[in-house]
Amino acid sequence: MQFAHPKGPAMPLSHRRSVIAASLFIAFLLDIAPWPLEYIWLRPDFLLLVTLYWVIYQPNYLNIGAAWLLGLVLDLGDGGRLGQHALAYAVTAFVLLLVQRRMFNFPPWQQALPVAALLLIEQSISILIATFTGDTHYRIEYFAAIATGTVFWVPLWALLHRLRTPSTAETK
Amino acid sequence: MSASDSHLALFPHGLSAGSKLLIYLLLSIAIIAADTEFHALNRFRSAMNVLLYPMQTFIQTPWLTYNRVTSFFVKQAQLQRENSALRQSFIQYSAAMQRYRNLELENQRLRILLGMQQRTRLSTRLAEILFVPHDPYQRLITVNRGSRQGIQAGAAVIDEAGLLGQITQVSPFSSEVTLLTSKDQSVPVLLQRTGLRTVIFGTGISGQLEIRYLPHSADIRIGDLLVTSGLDGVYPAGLAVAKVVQIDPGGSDAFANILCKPLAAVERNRQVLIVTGTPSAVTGKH
Repeated sequence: MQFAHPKGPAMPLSHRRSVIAASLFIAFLLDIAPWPLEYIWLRPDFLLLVTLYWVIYQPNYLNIGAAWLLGLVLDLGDGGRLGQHALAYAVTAFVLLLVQRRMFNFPPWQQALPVAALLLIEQSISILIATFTGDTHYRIEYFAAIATGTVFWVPLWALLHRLRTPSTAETK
Repeated sequence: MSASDSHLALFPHGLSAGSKLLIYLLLSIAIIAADTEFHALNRFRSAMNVLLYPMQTFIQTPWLTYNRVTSFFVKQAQLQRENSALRQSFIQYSAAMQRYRNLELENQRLRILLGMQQRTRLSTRLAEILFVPHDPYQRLITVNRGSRQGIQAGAAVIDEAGLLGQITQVSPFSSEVTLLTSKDQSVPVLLQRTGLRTVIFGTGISGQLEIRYLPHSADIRIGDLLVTSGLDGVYPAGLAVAKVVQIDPGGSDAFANILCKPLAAVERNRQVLIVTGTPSAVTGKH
């Protein structure tokens, strides 16, 4: 599985850890923010999107372990089943690391499709765990969050890209 | 991970991604099992909830301020309309209330005559829904009242229309409510029209409950109201629970398939009432 491991020197645009931490924290807050309950199915997982972004661009800082921890924090934050999103996040980060080199060179609108696939992986694993632990019924609306998450990808990418650009000019 | 003398290290790149994934997979499976099967992590969770509580309130403030500001700028005409509607319903309710007081006194006297136990009043506490889990299919919500406010696990949670669920886990400042519709919830109920006692089960589907073990001969009709019977000692008697919406004779089955729709709904508003204390505790306090 060596191909799935980020090799070589760190990517030249090294972002300050504070930017990464702050963006993840804000994404987490957005995830636990109140959301109109009629449209709860459309709620995108901001924390996952930001995690995916940093796994693509800073795989040395954010890899499987960090993704797992963030999933665990999300489970704690929303009072769900502990470990469910942790596992799903870890697997998603792993799959992303397999294609990280290619994703790194894609423009954001081309990244959107693989990102949608990754969101599907996360939700499928989530639902699989829920099935194993006793939940039985799901509606197809559950997967609507993939569409909204994909829609959010490009603006999110632009925002995070803008945030990290000045830091590349400053550092070393 | 990357040591300074990476050439000498045995694993210069640390563990491979595959083995890392395997470790985290096993770790999460252990956590999931510990949490859902053995409830071993409840302490840890409630401790973490205390840490998360400031964040939750912080993220709610913009929404709450927006609500407050918009409710401040309401039109005079709308206020007047609302006021007159409220006044009218107040008059109607006060008439009903007089009758109700009379009936309650009468009921008390009759109960004394019959030598039965006294019914106690409900004391409730208003709580606000903090959030619902990220996966909408998990039928539970978190509200902003916890053990510091005297909430105990097992308390019934209602809204203005009927029974909503039950407190299943309490943290100092918040608590978790498992909804009626969640899969393993069951409530002893009675049919208001006939007094028939039965048990209603959650199906895991939003807005759907079912009665499982009722013979075909049972006198039950579409539109019948089900109220809590109070037999389990968990839910106080007489709370509205659900309405029968569909009766399927079920062909070869021994029992009829009866589907009901809960009267309470989480989607409608963000405030719920928690029924605090068992009847004895209520009489002890006031």
